[in-house]
Amino acid sequence: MAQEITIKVGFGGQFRELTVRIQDDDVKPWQPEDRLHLIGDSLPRVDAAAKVTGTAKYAYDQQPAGMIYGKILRSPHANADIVSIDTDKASRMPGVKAVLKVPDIFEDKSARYAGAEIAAVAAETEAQAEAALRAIEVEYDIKPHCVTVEDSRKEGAPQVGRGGQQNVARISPRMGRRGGGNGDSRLARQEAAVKEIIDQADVAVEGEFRTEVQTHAPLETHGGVCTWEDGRLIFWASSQATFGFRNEMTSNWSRVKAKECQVLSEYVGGGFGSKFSAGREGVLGALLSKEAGVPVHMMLNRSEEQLSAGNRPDSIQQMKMGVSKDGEILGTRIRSWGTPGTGTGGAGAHNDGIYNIGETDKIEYGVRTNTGGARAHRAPGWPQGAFALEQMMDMAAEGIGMDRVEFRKKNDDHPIRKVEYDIAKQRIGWDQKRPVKGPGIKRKGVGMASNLWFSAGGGGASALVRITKDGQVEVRNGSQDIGTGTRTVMGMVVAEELGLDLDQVTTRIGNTDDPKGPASGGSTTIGTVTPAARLAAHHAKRQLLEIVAERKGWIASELDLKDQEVYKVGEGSLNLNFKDACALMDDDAIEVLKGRPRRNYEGFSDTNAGVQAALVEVDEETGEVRVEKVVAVADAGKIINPMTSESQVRGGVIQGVSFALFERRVMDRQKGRMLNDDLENYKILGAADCPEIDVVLLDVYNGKSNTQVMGLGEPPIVATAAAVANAVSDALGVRIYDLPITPKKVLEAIAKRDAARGTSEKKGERL
Amino acid sequence: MAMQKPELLPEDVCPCLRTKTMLLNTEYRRSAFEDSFTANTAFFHCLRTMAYHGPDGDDVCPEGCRPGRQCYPTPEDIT
Repeated sequence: MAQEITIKVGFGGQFRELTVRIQDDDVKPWQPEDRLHLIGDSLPRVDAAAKVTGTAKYAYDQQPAGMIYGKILRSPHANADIVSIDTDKASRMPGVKAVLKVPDIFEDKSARYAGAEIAAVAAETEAQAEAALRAIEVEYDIKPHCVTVEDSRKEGAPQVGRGGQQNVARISPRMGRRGGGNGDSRLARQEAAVKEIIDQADVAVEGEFRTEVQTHAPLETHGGVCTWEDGRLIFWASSQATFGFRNEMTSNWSRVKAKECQVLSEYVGGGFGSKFSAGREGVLGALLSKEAGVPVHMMLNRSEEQLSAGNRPDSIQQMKMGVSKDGEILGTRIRSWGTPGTGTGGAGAHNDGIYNIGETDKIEYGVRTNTGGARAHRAPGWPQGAFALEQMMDMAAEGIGMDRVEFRKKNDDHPIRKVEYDIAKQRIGWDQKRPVKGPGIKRKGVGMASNLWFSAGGGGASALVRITKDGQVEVRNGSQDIGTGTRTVMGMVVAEELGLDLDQVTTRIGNTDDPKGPASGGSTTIGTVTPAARLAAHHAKRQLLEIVAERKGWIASELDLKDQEVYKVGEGSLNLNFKDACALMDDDAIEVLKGRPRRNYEGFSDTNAGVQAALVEVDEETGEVRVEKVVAVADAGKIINPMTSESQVRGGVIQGVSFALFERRVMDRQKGRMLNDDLENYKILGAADCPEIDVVLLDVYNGKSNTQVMGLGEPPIVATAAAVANAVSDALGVRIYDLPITPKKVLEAIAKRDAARGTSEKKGERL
Repeated sequence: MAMQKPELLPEDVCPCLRTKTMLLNTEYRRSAFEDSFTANTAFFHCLRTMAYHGPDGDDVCPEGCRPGRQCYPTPEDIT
């Protein structure tokens, strides 16, 4: 059943009416003229004190009685098959309670990268477990390896896969099923057509762009603590998908096959896309605990995290774009390669989104290497794609002599972003003169880039709201808060609906015994969970008001809750506060479980937009790039809590600047090992490197759900590295095509620039 | 041994295949199985190996994890 309602959608001062069909029992989305009590207020996270005082218990912190420690033996070889594993000595060592061989568990005798799992041990102490790992004897059939895209693509390169697997495979457009067509003739026609368009364009620009592997580095590593109670698996997991984790533990085809499983992720120390699966460490932890008969603590150390817990694939992106004199992009050719580790899928780059880029001829290739596997990483494919695309946008604008921002506007029809350009431009001081002409030492420049995302959420979430006779309110949902503030905004939505303050609502999250919730992926958690929470709160409120009306002789449909009181709509307070209203219940509590509508409603925009502008200073003597300021204009539907929203934007910008200037997995091509598998040599932006971040949030009434909120975890990282790269180019007058933008690359670019200008100085010749 | 077949998997894709978007009931959840996005950024793993390759050593992917593959479950395994 559905009901038809008319709502206002839009943002700023521009709204239009839209008639939409919403689920029969759903609540009308908040309207621009509604006077809201909490929504839109910057409120500290409800768990802020627990986190900063250390009372918040993460998976890592759990210590059930009798707990022992699990450790994993990993391959030292980049490419090998396991011939035999002898664990006899290890299993007899002091404190050892359980030993597992990976080929027995996972039907896999290959070790395709240095760091692949070989065996696992559980012992009373970590030292005993590590000693036992050293006592395991493994015979390997060692094979040649290749750990870079360049090496893997060479003719005669060592084979990474097994059987007939080639190192390089086309991953997009997708090949047909086995035996099916692969669309080669269609692609050939497309290639010819786009070539002709570009050849005939007024201006054509092209470039090859490279980005490096960015490893996952959440503060809390992967893993968890688990125990079995009467055949029921209880897993305190560092997970961004509590229900997905449970599914992996209980599936008949999982190696664990738990008949029942409870996953607890009350606090999670970051996920960023890498914690959707239990991983081999999760399965090994559960099986070690089962064999040992006691709880097992199985958390990866930092080296293991860097080696095996996922990363953002690297990329080589070749782009060519044809543009008309008046600034219209007519056609674009794209070829890209990237390595997701030992497979080929997933290493694509979103370098054709955001703008209208005309007829497009795009082919992506995945390249196998003997390296740790990639996983989803905060906006998978987008930061590396934007890095290439946005530089092409600047190059094309410069090619036709058009302002870089105006060129973007010309090829962009997103209604929100069209407004955001001017905000970013004004706040970064785009048109200000930045002196230092001629042989200056430090030059400044500005760059711009855009975001795009799809985060209105969807079905698959329910919330339970409980109002007790003594006036306590609780909302429960089993999904997790990986640091985005879900716990806080879920509470705010319920408090708003009930006319209460936030501290009057207790929010329970991260427990699969509670109502179903989504994985925290695609920035959709808030957009999926909050409509369910509001719906449950609304119906709990109506039940309470029915009781109040019956007991007081009032008409329930005329009543509502506001400012912690019952009031009559259109008239005012009835001098009955919330607590006294609850006391009128006969039963101990009202409990309402409601599920979110499966589909989003028609609304203003299906996507988030967002624009960022960066101001950099480049030292021409040292090559150092300093990002002075980033203006991040963001939108995410209705903003529930500007403080947590800002926090997401700041986090995205910080990670984006880090991607732009520092992060890079370094592989030893001879040994096949990662050389910087720690946080000392794997460089990440620190506090001293952090720019001023000016966050501007647009409040959009998009009508997609009853809360109209969209997620904001991923969009803010899309544009940052691209904006920084464009700013560096603006400062130097020469473009840098590779990330990270290190001093060495800057100095090399300056030398090339000066050589091209015929002004090469001695410092250029020294390089 | 019987197994549950996740709702989101295309009809004949192996029920051991897992990917992130199966956990998201959003409007673009099917993108992992279709060419609705123009970039390939989805990762697939196998429940049996917990890796990006299956028990037969070949890649886990919607195109490849289909009937006829050596490690594909027998019909009686699928409910």
